[in-house]
Amino acid sequence: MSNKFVKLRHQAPEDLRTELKTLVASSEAKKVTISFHFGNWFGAALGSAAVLCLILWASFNQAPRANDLLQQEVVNSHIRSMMSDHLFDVASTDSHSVKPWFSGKIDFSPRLVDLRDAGFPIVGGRLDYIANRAVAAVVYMHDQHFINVFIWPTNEDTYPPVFAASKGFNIWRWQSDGMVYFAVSDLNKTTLRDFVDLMNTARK
Amino acid sequence: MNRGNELLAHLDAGYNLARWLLKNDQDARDVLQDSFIRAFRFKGEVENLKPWFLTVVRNTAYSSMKKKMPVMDVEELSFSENEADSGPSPEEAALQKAELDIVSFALSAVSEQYREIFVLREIEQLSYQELAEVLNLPMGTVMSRLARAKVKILELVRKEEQNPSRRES
Repeated sequence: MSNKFVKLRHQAPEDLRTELKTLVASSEAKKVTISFHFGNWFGAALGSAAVLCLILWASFNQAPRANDLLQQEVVNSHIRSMMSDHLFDVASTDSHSVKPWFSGKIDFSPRLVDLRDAGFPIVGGRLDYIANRAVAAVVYMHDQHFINVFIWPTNEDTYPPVFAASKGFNIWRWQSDGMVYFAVSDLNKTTLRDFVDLMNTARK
Repeated sequence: MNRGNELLAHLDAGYNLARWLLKNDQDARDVLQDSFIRAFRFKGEVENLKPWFLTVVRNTAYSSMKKKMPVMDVEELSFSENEADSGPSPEEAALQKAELDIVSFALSAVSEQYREIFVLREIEQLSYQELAEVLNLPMGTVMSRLARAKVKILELVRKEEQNPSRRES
């Protein structure tokens, strides 16, 4: 039988292909290590010169804003949690089980919102480390998509959600009642915003 | 080539199977994404990546479908390998002559079990051995199901050829 039916083949969406390529590349990047052969003084000198050039180059270029770096850190943490089978330290769909788990592990009490009825059940929580401090990562689910919500205290003012996108993921950042929140997911922008609005509405 | 890049090479195959099973772009996309992450995280050895990945996609797709509706079983006949390898059947020859959009319509209308085996064999070009691996069936059952799938699809093609208006709905 000739291969006539190959014409019926569906192609994977390009944006999903790009997203998965990013996941693979991100995972591979973690495995890359730079080794210096200190026995070879020429190689070490060459390496030092390269580092010096990098520092000089960086000094002549505008440094990324602190918020951009923080955003990258949050997205990288989201990717790591998805890739390394470490999405949660405590698995539960009950916010009353997840919240107490954080007690004694972090120096604040994250406010968890039960959005099960709205189609966003909590599936677990874990500790993470962002912005040089331990933070709460609460994991919600919608259909088959995970949403990582990173929470930690802040002294800055409350402000409404701000959107960003990075590496194929959507991010909403907002501050409320002395806490900063980052919601990161591969959910589309609108659905993720609905989730953020539900979180904020439920608080009030 | 690492596991991730090897899996990326089979992304279209995975999407094609998921799309034909679920008949919906968004569901196929979700299933493919979930399957890819599961497969990429898997640390064990995999001998033949494509059929293994398609097995992951298939299992994920059926899990997704179970939430929406029960999957109907199809009756099986027992075929021997000799019967299946005896050259193109009349159904195969007739399907080759049918218009592609009519075959596509018929393929969408048959049961999941018939649709998946036709897609895996005729579009993804899997061998009988690979079909047996993906579908977790004995070789004889694979052959009988494939033959019955072609008969069913041809029946629908014939009906559609006689009454083209059915495709417009």
